[in-house]
Amino acid sequence: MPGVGLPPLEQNVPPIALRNYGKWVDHEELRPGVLKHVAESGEACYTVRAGMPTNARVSTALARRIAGLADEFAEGHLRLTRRHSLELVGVDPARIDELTERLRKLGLPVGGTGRTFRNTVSCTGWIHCQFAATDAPAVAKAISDELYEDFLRERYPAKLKISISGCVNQCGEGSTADIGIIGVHRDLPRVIDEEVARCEIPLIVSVCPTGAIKPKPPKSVQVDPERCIHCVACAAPCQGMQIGDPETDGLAVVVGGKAGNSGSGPAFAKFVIPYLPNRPPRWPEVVQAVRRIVDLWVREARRDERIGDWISRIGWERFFQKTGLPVSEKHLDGYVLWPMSARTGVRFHW
Amino acid sequence: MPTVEFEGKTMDLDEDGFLQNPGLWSETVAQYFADQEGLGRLTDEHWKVVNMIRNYYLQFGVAPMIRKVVKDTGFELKYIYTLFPSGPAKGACKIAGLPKPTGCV
Amino acid sequence: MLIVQLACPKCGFVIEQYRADQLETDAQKQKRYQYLRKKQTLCPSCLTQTSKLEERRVEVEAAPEAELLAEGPSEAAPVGEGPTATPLCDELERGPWPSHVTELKQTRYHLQMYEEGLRQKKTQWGFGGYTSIPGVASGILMRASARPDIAKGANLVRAFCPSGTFYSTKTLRALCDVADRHGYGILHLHATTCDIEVLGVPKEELRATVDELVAAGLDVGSTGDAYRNCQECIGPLRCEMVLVDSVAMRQAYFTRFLDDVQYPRFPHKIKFKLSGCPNDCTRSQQKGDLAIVGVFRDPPTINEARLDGWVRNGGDMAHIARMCPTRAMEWDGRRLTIDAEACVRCMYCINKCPAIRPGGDRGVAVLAGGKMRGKYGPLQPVVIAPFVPAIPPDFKEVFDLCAKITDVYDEHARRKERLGDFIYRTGIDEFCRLVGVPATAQQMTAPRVNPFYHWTPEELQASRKEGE
Repeated sequence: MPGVGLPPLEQNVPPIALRNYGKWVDHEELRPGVLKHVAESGEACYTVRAGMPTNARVSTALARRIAGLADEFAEGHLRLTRRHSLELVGVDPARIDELTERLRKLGLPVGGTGRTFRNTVSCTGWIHCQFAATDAPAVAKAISDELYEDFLRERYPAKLKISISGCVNQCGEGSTADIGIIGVHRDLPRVIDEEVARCEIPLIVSVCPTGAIKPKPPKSVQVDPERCIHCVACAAPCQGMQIGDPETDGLAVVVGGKAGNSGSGPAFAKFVIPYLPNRPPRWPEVVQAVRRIVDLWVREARRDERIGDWISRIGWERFFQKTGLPVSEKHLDGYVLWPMSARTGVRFHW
Repeated sequence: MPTVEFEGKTMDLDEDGFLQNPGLWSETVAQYFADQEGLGRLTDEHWKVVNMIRNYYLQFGVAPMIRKVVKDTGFELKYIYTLFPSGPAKGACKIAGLPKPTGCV
Repeated sequence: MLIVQLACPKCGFVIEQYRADQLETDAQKQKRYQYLRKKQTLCPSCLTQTSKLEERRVEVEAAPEAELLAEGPSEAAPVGEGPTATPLCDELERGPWPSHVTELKQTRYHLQMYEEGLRQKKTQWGFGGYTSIPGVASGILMRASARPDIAKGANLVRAFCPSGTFYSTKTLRALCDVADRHGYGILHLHATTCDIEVLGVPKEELRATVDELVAAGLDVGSTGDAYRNCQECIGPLRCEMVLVDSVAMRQAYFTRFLDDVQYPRFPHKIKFKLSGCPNDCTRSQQKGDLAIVGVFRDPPTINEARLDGWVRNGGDMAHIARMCPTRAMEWDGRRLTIDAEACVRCMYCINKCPAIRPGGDRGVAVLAGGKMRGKYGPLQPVVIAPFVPAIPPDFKEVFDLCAKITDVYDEHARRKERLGDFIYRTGIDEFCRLVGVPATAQQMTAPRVNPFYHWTPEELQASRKEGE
């Protein structure tokens, strides 16, 4: 039965981390994917980081092989990072090359520290979710293949995080990343009257942010096509509000998000490409758009400038001009918080 | 589609055991659901919660917030979870004949 | 079958396509087709704006539906050897990055569901679904199938990741055993809130799955309108930047709030994030309904001797001083000074130069209302209290404030209204008054520019008395 909470630290944390708990003083990156942390006592802790299958989808077969490596190289412990990459902690420095090779044989590339392309974060998409407008795992795979070399080598001005969400619910956190891909629905929800009759109609009406949903007597609702903003809010509380249209669903590209406080501070990413169509299995135009933005950033940004910092220096005018992405009325925010992104004053970048 | 029979009426259930037509709910049906949930004979305290949820739903068309259930019945939240081990939002609402809760976000 | 395509005149990229027979009969499709032909369109491939799409008619063979709907997972389908039941999935196994499809193929997951999704450009998973097992009020989700002809729906069980997301191989193997015994044999490590997910568990095996996970030290929860799994950064376990003990704080969170985690009762979910320093590795300042971030108030310290050595080894202090976001640093080539009044403690220089370390007087900032969706779209959490002392072992001051915030939310918010939307609706002034925290200058980027205050009768009365 549930109700026990967290296991004690000793059950999962490696002894080297417990021995030096709170006493770490320094770290350096020896090469992409290999970190060295030094504790007060002088003890050094070597970490090897590797990319994991897209969407953090791990079969028990792979998990058991990873456990085998952890037993052999890291005293029986491993760690998963906040971006779901794998870390083996406390590795003997003399065996790092051997471990890298063994991980490579498992198909897991070593890298993703420092100024590199990091492991992608994506939601479950069409593998397992009813809301997804696009298949986040496949998009993640296509982008990861394209930027694979940049995971292994540091050729960026700063780190690059890419996250992919299958819909605007953003379980895949597209808006948090340097470059985010967010699935968008564009068609109206289909109202299945007999299903809606079995739902809490006042709740469906109240979750709609624009008041587009009105009750339709006796026991259903109707959607005002002029006011619907395709936010998917009504689909969650009622299975009679069905979304998803293969011909018009697609995805949008956002750039410039980051969480840390350095540089221009924490910010959400902004929508720069309002719509691209779904083209399974490899979404070539998404990959192309990402490649175009990344290449420009690599060429133009100063050292330590993440994409958001770079754009806040050069301005959105120049970003659009240099990437060649067209500006349309879709970029202007018209939703409730719109004054936050509308320009006041005439301090333009020309 | 599974069906059950109460008091001479046949009722359709969906795949999760909810009434297809919630209008057919009765106290007998509630006891049937309680048996399905493994609660046994419903006590007065069960009925206090079930009736509160049912009345609120009939009045407003939505399930009450759990804070409201706690306030109106005077039971502690933990106690309500003891009465309905799968919780007020799931078990109690099912027994009270409310619509099936859905959604993961 | 005749297909009508609308393509970019420049690069030939097909923007939309329709079956010719459908285009003649389906009014909605006709309308869309006419609309696209007339309006300005952005080509997603070459990114040029065009007003005249090129129309093409092509004859293609009808898709062999019967074959594509073949039953069962396609373990037997090797990559690149003739036609398989899952050609689109196979395509996702190509390329150097480890593929999720390769993983899925090694399990009992019904790959045909995914293949059909890719083929139809639409998820095959359905709406609805409901599971309840007594005693487990949080931690189980149902995935309904819209294609029962391919696969039935199944449940997934969520468990909390262990501290620092470290796993012993014993724990990991126990987790694999559970997934193999009761589920598809596939894990989600992790879902984005750092929950472990065991997928594909039939209803009758849920009880055993939960019990076995709990026995392995992985308690279940993190679904429903409850406190969700709390994410912490690696903190004292392997990081020198950490300002407060984030790992101990997460343990204290689970000790104090376990009931709120496992017995859903709030208007909507509450996601809880802990970051030990302003670098915010858990992305709390974007996603946290409640975000706790370690902060320091004294200016950064400079270790002169270490700085000398670092610069002699090629460290570029001039660059760091130039990139300081508030230009608080002065570097004349030999001496570094930091203007404590201009410094905003963002940690940029600290991350880049090992001779600069965070200053003393440490605590946490508490922010509330972050989320990625909901009524008003993505909102970053706002500062409720800029500095709260973080005192182990129970971090009482911090969690008291969090409990107060959720109490106010629980009391006043509407059903299915996220905390951020609620704060937006009430206003930060009213919200802080309800929570009972004093206003601070750190809570605003600037004071208000409109004079539309709310004055209380008491305040008016006070003025009247003064005038007498």
